[in-house]
Amino acid sequence: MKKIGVLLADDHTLIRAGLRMVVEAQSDLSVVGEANNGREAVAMAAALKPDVVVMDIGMPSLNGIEAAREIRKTLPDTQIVMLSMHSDEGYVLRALKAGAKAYLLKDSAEADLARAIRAAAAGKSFFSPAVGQVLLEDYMRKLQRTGAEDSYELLSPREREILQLVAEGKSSKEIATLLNLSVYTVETHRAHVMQKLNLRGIPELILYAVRKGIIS
Amino acid sequence: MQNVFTQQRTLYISVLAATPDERRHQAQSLISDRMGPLQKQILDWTGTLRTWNGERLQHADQVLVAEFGSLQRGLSRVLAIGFGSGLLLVLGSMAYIVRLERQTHGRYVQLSQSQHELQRLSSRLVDAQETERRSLSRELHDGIGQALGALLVDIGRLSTTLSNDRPELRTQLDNMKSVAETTLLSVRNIALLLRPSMLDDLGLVAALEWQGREVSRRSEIEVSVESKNMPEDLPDEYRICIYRLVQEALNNAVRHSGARNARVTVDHSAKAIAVRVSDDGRGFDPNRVRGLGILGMEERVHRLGGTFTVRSQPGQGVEITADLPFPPASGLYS
Repeated sequence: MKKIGVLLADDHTLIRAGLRMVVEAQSDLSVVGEANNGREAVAMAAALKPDVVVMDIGMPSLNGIEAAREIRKTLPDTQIVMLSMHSDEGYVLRALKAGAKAYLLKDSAEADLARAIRAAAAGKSFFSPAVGQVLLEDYMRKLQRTGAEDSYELLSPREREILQLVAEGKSSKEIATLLNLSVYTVETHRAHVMQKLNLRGIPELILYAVRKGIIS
Repeated sequence: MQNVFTQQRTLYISVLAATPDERRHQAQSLISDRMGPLQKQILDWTGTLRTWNGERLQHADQVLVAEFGSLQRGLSRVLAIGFGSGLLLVLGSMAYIVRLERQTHGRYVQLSQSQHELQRLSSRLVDAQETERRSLSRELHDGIGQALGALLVDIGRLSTTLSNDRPELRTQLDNMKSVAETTLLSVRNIALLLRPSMLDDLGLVAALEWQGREVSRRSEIEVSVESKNMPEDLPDEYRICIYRLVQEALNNAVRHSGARNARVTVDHSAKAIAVRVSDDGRGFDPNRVRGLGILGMEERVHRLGGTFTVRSQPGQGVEITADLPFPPASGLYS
């Protein structure tokens, strides 16, 4: 079986060394290169065409978000695992919008990195458990204080099912086959979900799903 | 003289007492012998008297003229002195006034110069503070933070390779991990306080949203953040000014207002960025209370050529607004 090629991008040698050891310990993963900053990561990704780039969000020269955006633009088959110290919604949402599939907190990187890389390589989303926790707490507190209703209650069971599948990274066509529905029906359900939850775009939908603990 | 008059009198009496014949007889001799010399004597006396009188009169005249002359001279001297000293006084006062005016102008120039320098100094101070904070934050984040991060990765690897038959080692390892984690967290929080990395990673709006959520998490206030037309590539001076302004305003709200809700808006119109932070707390009298925090905000805003206002009344909440000219007038900060 072909190994998953991983490019590590972090401006700190110590962290990179640690990450490399974690990745190399797995038999199905291999490190194809190490980049020192965002610009280098973009150049090395273009040259090495790795399956997954593990990228620190805050790097000099070009930060992780911008680098992820550029890599996703030129190499649609290369997935991004974003590493960050922040579990804040602003970071998660922007990482998702830049095209990252997985979002890991540096604290728990060594425990979840391998799983995150595998999930991303398979086109699935992955988030550190703590991220979902923080997002959920923020969400619940806001609902409580502003007295707003939890819009999740408005969704029908079918819509919830589709929400989960979309959040997991499945296309409408895949969902249609999976649920034995027409693509058109899936699209309609999807539109309803977005409308009811007042979401704009897939990144916000994924964020919502993480917040609600639908995916992790 | 008395004598002459007495003689005259006795002469007249003797003339009057004589009989007409005697009189006729005596008359000739009387007139020639006695009256003639007497008359002459009297005439002499009168002459002498007249000259004497004349002399006296002339003398008095002279005295009078002399006195008048001296009086006139005295008067003109007094007038001259008075006029002269008045003129001198006027000239002196004018010179004094001119000098005072020059001094005042000099002081004014000096004052405005030193005020200008003070302004520059305090803006330098703000700059220096930000630079210092940034380098400290970088140091904490890159040095201590990354070392702790690497330590955590190592500990994690160690605990996965550790066999399960050594529970006491695993407990120790878990302890080490939790200490490293707590330390890392506090280092991170200090670094964030010094320089919010989201400002560099994600831009101003995201950093403000993060700040809003942080305050919501830590306090009883629910913060909403709204932004309109904010440019992505805002210069760092503006990002940090707006960020610190909002940070300070929210901190004040948390500490003093007892508010339930706070609202942050940033809006970029054609010529300016309007920043507004308002809360529904107990408010205060801005004319009486003016803490360092408000002064600091004002300073930052003035530095960028903006205007800053605090509107509040006891029981009416607080609204802080800043209007920053943007794009900036050329040559504003140098």
